[in-house]
Amino acid sequence: MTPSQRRTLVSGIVFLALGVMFLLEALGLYELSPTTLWPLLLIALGIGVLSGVGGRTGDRDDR
Amino acid sequence: MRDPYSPEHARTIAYGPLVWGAILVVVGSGWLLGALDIADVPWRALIAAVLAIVGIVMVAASNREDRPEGLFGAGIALSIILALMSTFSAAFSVPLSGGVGNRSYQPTIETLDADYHLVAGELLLHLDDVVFPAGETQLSVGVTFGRIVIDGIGPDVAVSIDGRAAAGELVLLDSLQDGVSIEQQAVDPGFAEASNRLFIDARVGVGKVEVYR
Repeated sequence: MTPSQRRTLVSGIVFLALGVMFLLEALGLYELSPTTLWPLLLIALGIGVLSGVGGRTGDRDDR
Repeated sequence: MRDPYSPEHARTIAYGPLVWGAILVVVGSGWLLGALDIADVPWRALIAAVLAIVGIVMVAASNREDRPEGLFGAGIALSIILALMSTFSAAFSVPLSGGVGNRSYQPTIETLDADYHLVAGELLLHLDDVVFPAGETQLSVGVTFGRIVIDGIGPDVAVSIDGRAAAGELVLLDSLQDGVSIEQQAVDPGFAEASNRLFIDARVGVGKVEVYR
C-alpha cells in the first residue's frame, strides 16, 4: 500500500468515525463537550494528514 | 480514439465530483424544502451523515488508481462545519433546527406548539387568538441567527419571560438590553399567584428578541 493509498484509507476511517460521532450527537444519543471536541478534531485530522507523509514518492513509485 | 463505454473508461469515473455533486444536490434540496416550509430539515444529522458517507467512499476507493483525493478537503470542511455547529449550539443553548427564512404564526390554543425554532430568519408569533387555560403554559422560541417577535399576549394571562442572546438585543415588555452574552427576565407582578400563567423562553444566537403584549 502506497502512502497515498494509506492516507485515503486512514482519512476515510477518520471521517467515518467523526460522521458517526456527530450523527449520534445530532440525534441526541451522545453528548460532545466543546472543551474536548476541538482537540479531538485536530488530532483526528492530524492523523489523516500524517498517514500520507511521503505520499508523493509513493505516488511516483505507483505509476 | 477512446471508447467511452470501455471498462477502462468506466474505471476513470471520479468519485470526487460524484460525491461533491451529491452533497450540493442534498444541501440544495434540504434548503429548498425548508424555505418552502415543506419539511424541517435536521441539518446537523444530514451533514454528519454526508461526512460518514464521504468516509465510506474514501475507504472503499482507497485501493483504486483514481482515488478521490478531492474528498479529503470535503471531509475536513464538513468536520469543521459540524464542530462549529456543535460548539455554537452548546455554548449558546440555541438549537440549530427549524429551517431558514421568515415564519409567521397566529395560533389558537388548539394549534399552539410548545416549541418554535428557526436556524436563520425572522420568527413572528402572534398570540392574539390564544385563550390561555388555567395553570401554566410553557412556550420555547429559538432563532440561531435573526429575530424573534412575540406579540398579542392578552391581559388575562400573567407572563414570565426568559430572554437570552449570545449577541444582540432583548426587548422584553418594557425593558431593553443589548450587548454580548445577555440574559434578561421580565415577570408580571403577581405572576406566581395568577391563575393563568404563560412562561416564555426566548433565545437567539445572534439577533434580537422582542416580546410585547
